[in-house]
Amino acid sequence: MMELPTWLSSVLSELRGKVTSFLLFHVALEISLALLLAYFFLQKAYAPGQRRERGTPSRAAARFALKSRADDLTEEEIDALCDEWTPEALVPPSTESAILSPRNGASTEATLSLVRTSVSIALGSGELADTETSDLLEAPTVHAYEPGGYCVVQIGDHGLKRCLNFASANYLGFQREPRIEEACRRILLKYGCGACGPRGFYGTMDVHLRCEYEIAKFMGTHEAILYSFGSATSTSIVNAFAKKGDIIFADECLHYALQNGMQLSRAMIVWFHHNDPADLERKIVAIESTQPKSRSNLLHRQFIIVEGIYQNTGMVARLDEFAAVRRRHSNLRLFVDESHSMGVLGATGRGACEHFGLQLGRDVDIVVVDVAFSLASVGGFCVGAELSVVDHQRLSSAGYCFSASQPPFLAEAVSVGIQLLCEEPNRSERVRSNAALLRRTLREHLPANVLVEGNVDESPLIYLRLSSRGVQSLLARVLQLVQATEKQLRNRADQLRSTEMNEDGDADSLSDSGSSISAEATEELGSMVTDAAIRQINHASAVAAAATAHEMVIPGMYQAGAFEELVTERFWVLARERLIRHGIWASVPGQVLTEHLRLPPALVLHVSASHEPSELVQSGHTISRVLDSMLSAVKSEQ
Amino acid sequence: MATKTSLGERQLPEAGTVSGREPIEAEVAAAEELQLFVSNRGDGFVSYLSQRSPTPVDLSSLQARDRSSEEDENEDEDLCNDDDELDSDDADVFSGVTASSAGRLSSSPGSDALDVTSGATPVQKLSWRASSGSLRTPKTGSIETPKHRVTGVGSNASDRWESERSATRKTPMSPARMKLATSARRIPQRYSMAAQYVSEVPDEMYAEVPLVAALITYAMYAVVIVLGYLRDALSKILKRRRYAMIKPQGCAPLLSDFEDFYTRRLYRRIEDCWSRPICSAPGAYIDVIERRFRTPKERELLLQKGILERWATKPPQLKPVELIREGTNEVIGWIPQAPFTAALTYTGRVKRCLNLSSYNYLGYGEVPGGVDASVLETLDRYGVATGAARESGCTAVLRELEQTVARFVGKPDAIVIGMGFATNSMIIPAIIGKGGLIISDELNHASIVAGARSSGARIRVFRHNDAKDLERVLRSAIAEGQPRSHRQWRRILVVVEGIYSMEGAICNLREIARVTRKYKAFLFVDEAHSIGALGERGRGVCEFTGVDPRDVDILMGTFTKSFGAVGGYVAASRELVAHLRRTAPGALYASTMSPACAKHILFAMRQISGEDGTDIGRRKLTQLRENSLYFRRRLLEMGLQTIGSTGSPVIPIMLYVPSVIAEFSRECLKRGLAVVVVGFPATPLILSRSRICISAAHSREDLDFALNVIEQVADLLKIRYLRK
Repeated sequence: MMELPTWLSSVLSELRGKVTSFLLFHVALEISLALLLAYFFLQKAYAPGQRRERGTPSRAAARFALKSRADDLTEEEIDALCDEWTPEALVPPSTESAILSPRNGASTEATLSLVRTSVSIALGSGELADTETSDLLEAPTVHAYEPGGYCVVQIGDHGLKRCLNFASANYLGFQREPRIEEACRRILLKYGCGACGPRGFYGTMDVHLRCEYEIAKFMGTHEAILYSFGSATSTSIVNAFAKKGDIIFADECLHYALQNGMQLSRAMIVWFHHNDPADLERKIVAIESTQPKSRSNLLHRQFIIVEGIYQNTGMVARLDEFAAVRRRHSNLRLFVDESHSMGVLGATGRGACEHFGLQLGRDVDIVVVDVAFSLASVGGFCVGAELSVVDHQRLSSAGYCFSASQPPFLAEAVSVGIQLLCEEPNRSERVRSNAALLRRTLREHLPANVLVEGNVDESPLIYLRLSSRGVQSLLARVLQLVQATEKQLRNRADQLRSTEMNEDGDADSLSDSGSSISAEATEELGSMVTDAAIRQINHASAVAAAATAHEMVIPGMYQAGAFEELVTERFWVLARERLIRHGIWASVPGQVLTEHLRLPPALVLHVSASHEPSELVQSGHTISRVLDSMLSAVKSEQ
Repeated sequence: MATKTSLGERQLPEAGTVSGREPIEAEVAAAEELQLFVSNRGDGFVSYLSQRSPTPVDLSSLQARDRSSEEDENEDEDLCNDDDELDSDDADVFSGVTASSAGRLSSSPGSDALDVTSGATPVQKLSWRASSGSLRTPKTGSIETPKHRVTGVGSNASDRWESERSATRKTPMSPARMKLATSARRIPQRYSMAAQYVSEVPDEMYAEVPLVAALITYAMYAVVIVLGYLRDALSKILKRRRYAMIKPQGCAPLLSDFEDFYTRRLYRRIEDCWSRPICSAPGAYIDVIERRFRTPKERELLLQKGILERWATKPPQLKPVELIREGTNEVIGWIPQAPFTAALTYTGRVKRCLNLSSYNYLGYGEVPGGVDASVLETLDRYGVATGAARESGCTAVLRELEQTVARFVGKPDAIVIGMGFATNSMIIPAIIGKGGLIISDELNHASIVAGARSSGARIRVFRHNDAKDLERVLRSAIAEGQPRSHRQWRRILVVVEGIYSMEGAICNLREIARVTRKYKAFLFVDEAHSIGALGERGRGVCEFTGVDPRDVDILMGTFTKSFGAVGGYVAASRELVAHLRRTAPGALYASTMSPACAKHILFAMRQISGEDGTDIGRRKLTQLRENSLYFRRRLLEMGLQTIGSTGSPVIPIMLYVPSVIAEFSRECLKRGLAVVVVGFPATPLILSRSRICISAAHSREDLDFALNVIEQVADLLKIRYLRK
């Protein structure tokens, strides 16, 4: 073998060294990579198609379980805990008890009937006593809507009564509009009733497209989106745009659907006083001062949410001032719910925005409308200034994507309604003048203790509430009656207890004596304690419970304001029934218990364009007379 | 080209200088131009994705297939007639089907191995799960069991059909595959009526994602997302973003970034598969209005300076599109032009398609003669709507409906709300609140989620349709109590659905009800899809699973599906319903149902329950059941991966790959079949599917037609995942 030249060997050895180190480096690298790979493979990777073994908790759940208490317990202990656990009944004993959180459900029930009956008595039941004590909590039944704003109503099992309808919001008188009905009939015959699918899955019909086109044309935008249900509309829209980290400035009296949307959106909610732009501005400034002035600020959207005419108070929003606030501050969008103002306000019935000379895009960003009130259909729509407002909702709004689309005949009713409104803009003028007329009549003739709520005479949504003095005198009277009744009952209970002891608790005789005593009590109290109360107290223990109820419950109610609410609600429910007897049907809307702000109960009148002015004046007089008689009964007794 | 330049000249709006008339004219011109494009292009649905379809379409092979499928169809028709004759009793049909598969499999075990494969391959990839603890042990080896060999009826039409079909499909089979085939768990023999109405719920099939499909899907998403971001970056440099420009000064963007990106760059590409407008009742056949993507030229128009800004609040008045039935010159209606921002516009052609998409289970979406006369009478009496919440808008029809619904589902009382979604979202908050716990199936509908979240109760989730997991969650929840304070829960509500609309799975109600009762929780069953569609008398999942409705505390359902109307109900004890009427947001604030709708539901419900004295309802129920079983079986035999439970009228076909869902939908539409496809975000990223909704309005011929089309498309797109 030939000897290599030294330079070559040196080069070679150097090369070898380099190669070895290079190889070594690679080997090391590859081993580490292999280790890394092995590590990843050993991790419980997501293998598509492989389902976890049944019953084993997911990793996240397992981690949670480590911290949870259940992990420390043995199976037997968990069994025992499960056995011990007793849930509350699915139905709470009564609605009010949810606020009262009483110690004794039965006693609350008895007390409630006691209070309710007492209100009836306080108001002088007279010839109406028989029905007033029956189940007034159940809504009256409508048997027909008639042209001219009339309807046929039935309460309980009593006969039908033809009434002037102030209970439905039928502002433009479209409820019995022959042209709309004719169009609906045509559509029903061609398309059937429902759409049988969401808009995304072949639930979009040409009828919907035409309707959206009509809406967009009417509202002056390029595109509108139609929802199948009014209350789902505002909820879903708020929820589609406001996200966690965003800020919503909301009027404290907004209706439930909007509040619900805000709650679902998880945005930060800042309430401002009802219809008070100055307060809104204060809140905005306060928020601005807490936030650092930086570009990242713009990541948070900020909305002002108001209604054109507030569903809960009938007030017309001071939209011009809200819009001014929006202009003065940056990064604010104005969201207006025009459900009650669309078709009513504005020269051509385009709503509160038109009324105040505001423009979509310049002053207002998103407008939402529930078509149930002016357009006499079921559904809702939304238009927006930004091009993405409608487009975004078509993919991201829960009430639009996950719900079946609006029945085509209801969409047609909306289209035809809008066409009619364009053709006859005097309809909205008529509803405004009618509203003003009724409000004036009521203000002149109503007893001093009843207030007509509202800031603008043209608002067709009229709330009648008791003044605080009215409430106080009513409360005083009712409390007086309750105490008297309760005293009687306690005496009876004492007697009963002694009989119980004497007779050694024979069940039959007990209940006999119970009923005989309650019959006596009835006599003694005159017509005061009637069916509803007696039903609760014809057993000895119930009598005793009712007797002690006063001590436990009434003071609690008084503090919570629930007693006041209960009494006033009862007052208005009775007023509603008496009005029906006089041929006028108004509504007494209920409230969800969890609402953040509870408004005092009220009687609500919806004025319609189809009401005749003479009828309105007459109704105003009747309503005043009925309420006056009720309140004077309270006064005279005192 | 000439048009474009002239267009460009006309298109330069100078709002400041000219007297305001000119720019409007320019816009009108532009609008006309848009119109012009509409009339010039008439070759149907053109899209980017279809041009770069991953599976190139071989026309010749397609035609060949068409021909062969026509022959198939003819055969099938003959056979169907036979079937109809045999149809005297439901039981016969089902046992006939059973017999056919059993008979075929057992005809000659040794030599006919390949038949076994063709019959059993569908099952290889499916994981079967028994509904209860008493697992049906998987039988290995021979599939034949004497009790399934029905004599007499066994030689019926489908048997013949089977043998003929299998004869045409002869493929050699490796021993390994044969082993697989025989050891695979087989499809439970549940086509017999006995199996239908006993306690047990059919086993649910789950998706088994083929690795290839998974890889392709992820790769595809990756490519599209990367490309999308690139294009976004480019358009930012070139300042050509379509929607970016109109936004109030100094405001944060209305949409969050990724949401916006997803819509623009992913959804837009296959947007034409959804929201297809129709212009007919949602019956067995629908008239689909054809659309096409706007051409780049048309979109160029909108990018002209100033157009968008002005059009946003003053849209151009475009002349409406006339709807012309395909193949004729008959004008059947009109629709307005698509909004100028829309990516799709209408061609004006209307195509009649078989409808496998609407929730028209019992065919009440299209009633002969439009609607029943009583509905029109109601319209005469009440007008269109009440305009009030329940307190002052409770019509006599509504009360009647509430009573009828309660009777129908077997509960003392019910409350009816005007919208199905709102029934859940506005009633659940009145049932449970703070201090309560809602335990919800992981695949529950969005409306339940909305309701649960608005209630203020805590929410926990258990694994889809898994009673064991429910038990585990319940036990740990009760043991732990409320978080942090460890106080006891005030009450616990378990919420499940009757049929899960995206899975086609039927609720394992019997087990879930047992577990719920054992732990003293309350049970809420959402029967949106199952009421009317399940059970011998259409009473929903309770009847189907043999659970007494009294064991379910709250039964909720909708009228949108089986009853072809709108709205929903909650049926429960008299006390609870009274409580709901007084406190639920849905009763206090939501406007009541249109009386005409209520009457339509009453009409449908009376027919289904036979109260009207006819057997129309009963026949519809039978038809729906047969159709669902038949269609699912045929799809499985075709090698398509269907999931969900046997007997459910909702049949999802797994497609996985996002481009496949688009193509599946387009190709089916091209062949006259309207199907729904669903992808992310309605399903998990990888589990895209097509969802078939079977209706009683479909005849056997309709279904065979649909199956033929699906077979063609499946071959075209290579989605027979169950067939190696």
